Amino acid sequence: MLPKARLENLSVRELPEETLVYDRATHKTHCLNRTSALVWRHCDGRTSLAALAGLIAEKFHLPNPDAVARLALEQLSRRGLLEQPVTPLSDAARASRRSALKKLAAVAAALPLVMTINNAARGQIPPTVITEQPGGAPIPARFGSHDMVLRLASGQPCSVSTQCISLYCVGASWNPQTRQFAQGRCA
Amino acid sequence: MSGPSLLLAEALAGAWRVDSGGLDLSAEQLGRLAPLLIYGGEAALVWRRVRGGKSRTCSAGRWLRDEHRHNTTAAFLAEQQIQLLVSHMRAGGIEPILIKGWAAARHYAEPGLRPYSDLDLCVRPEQHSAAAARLQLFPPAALPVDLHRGIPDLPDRSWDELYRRSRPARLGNVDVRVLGPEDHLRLTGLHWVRHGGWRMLWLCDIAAALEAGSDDFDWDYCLNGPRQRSEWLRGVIGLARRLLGARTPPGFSSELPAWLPRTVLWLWGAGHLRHSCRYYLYHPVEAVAGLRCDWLNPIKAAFRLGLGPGHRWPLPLVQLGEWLRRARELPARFRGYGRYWSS
Repeated sequence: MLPKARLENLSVRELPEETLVYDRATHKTHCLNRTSALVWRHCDGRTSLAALAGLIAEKFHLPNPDAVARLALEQLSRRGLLEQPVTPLSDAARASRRSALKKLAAVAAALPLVMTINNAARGQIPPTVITEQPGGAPIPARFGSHDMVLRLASGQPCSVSTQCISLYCVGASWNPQTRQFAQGRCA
Repeated sequence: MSGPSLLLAEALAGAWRVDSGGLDLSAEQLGRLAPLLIYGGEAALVWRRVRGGKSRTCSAGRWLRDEHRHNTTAAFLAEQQIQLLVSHMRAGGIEPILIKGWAAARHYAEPGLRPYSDLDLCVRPEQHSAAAARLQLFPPAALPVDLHRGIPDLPDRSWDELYRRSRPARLGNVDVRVLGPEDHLRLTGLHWVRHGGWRMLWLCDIAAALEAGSDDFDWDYCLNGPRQRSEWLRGVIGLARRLLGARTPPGFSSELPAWLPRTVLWLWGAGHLRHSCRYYLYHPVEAVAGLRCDWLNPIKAAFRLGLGPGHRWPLPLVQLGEWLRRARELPARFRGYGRYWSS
C-alpha cells in the first residue's frame, strides 16, 4: 500500500500543536494531531505503510508503530484526505489492533487523532448561507460597518442577534450575572 | 477596578507578538474571561498565551481553542476572498485600498489570531459607483464587503495623499494595497475612538500596528492633523501602552486622563457589543444596557462633541450633551429605517 494524500481543494495551516486542513469542497475543517499530520504529510504515493510506521517510531518512540500508522491512515481515509480510500481491516485484525493500541494508553496523546469541525453546521462558512439576495450580491452594510453584521442564515444556531442576517435571533441572550450565552436560533 | 477587566488586560498584553509569553490562569479565571473573549473576538489571542498552562484542558480552554481553530479556518477563506476580490476590482480598472480586517491582522503573529467580520474596501470617491457595480458581479463569498467612498476616519487627509503613501502587501499571489503604516495607525486609533473603545481587539490592533512600525515611521505625519483627533490618537497609543504593554518609541509622551483607562476597563468588563436601533426594538430590555454602554459612552460622547481626551468638563455633562444630540437625531433615523423596510 502506497497511500497518497489528497491535495486538491484543501487549504492547510500548520499550528504549533496541530495541523488544520480546510476542505473547500465540504466546508469542513479537519484538525490533525501531530501523529496524524506526520503520516498525512508523508503520504506521497511512494512511502509504504512500513516506512510510515518507521517514521512514527522514530519521531514518537511508540511501541507498536504499524498499528498506529494503520489507524492514522484509516482516519485520514474516512475523512477523504487520501486520494484512494484505505481498505478497512478485517474484524479479527481490528480486534488484534485494538488490543495492541490499548497497551499504548499511557501515551494516548501520541495516538493519531483527526477531529472534524463542520463549519456548515456552525453556520459561518458556506457561501450559500451568507447571501441575502438570490442573485448573490454582496450584503451591503445597511447600518454602517460598525454593526457587526455577521450573516448567519435563518434557522442557524446563534448567540446574539447581530450574528443573524435578519439581525434577530430567537431565544439568544447574554446573561451579565452568569456571563454566559443562552443559545438561540436566527429568525 | 474590580471584575475581570484587569485580568483581561493582563491576558491580552503582548498576545499579538510572535513571542507572546505564556500565561497561567486558573480554570475559574479562564471561565470568567472566556465569554467576554469569545464575544469580542479575542479568544484566539488568549488561547495562544494559555495553551501551555494547566487550564488548557478545562472547558473554557477548549472553547478558546475551538475559537482559534475557527478563526484559522475563517482566515483561509477571507484571504482567498481578498485575493479574488482585489483581482476582480483591478480587472475593472479600480484599485482598492483594504483597511482594517486583514490589513490589521497581518501584523499579528499568526493569521488565525484575529477574526474579521467583513472586508473594508476603500475606493477613490469618484469611482465609488463603478466599484459598487463591479462588486455586484462578484460571486457570493464568505464575508460581506463594506465598500467605502474614500477612507473613513481620516477625513482630514485626501485620497491622493493616502493613496500615494499606501503600499502593496503580499497575500498569496496578489499584492493587496493597504494604507501606509502611519495612516494605518491613525485610522485604527481613530476608529477605536469613534466606536467608544469597547472592543479589546481594536486596542490590540493599535498595539500590533505600533510595534510593526519600522525605523522610518514618520511620527510627525502620523500625529499631524486637527488637534482634537491628534490628541485622541496620542491618548489611544498611551492607553495601548498602559493596558496592553505596547512598546512605544522612546520619548513618546501621552498624558492619560484618569477617566479614560477607567472607562475602557469598565467597557471591557461589561462585555457590551454595540447593536443597531432596530435590534433594540426587538430587545427592549437590553436597550437599557445598550443605552448605558453606547449612548452614554463617555469616549464616544467626548469625541462626537469635538472634545479631546484631556477635556475638563464633568463626564455626566458630556454624556448628557451627547445623549441630547442623539435623541434629536432619533426621529430621522427611524424614518430612515421605515423607508428602508417599506422598500
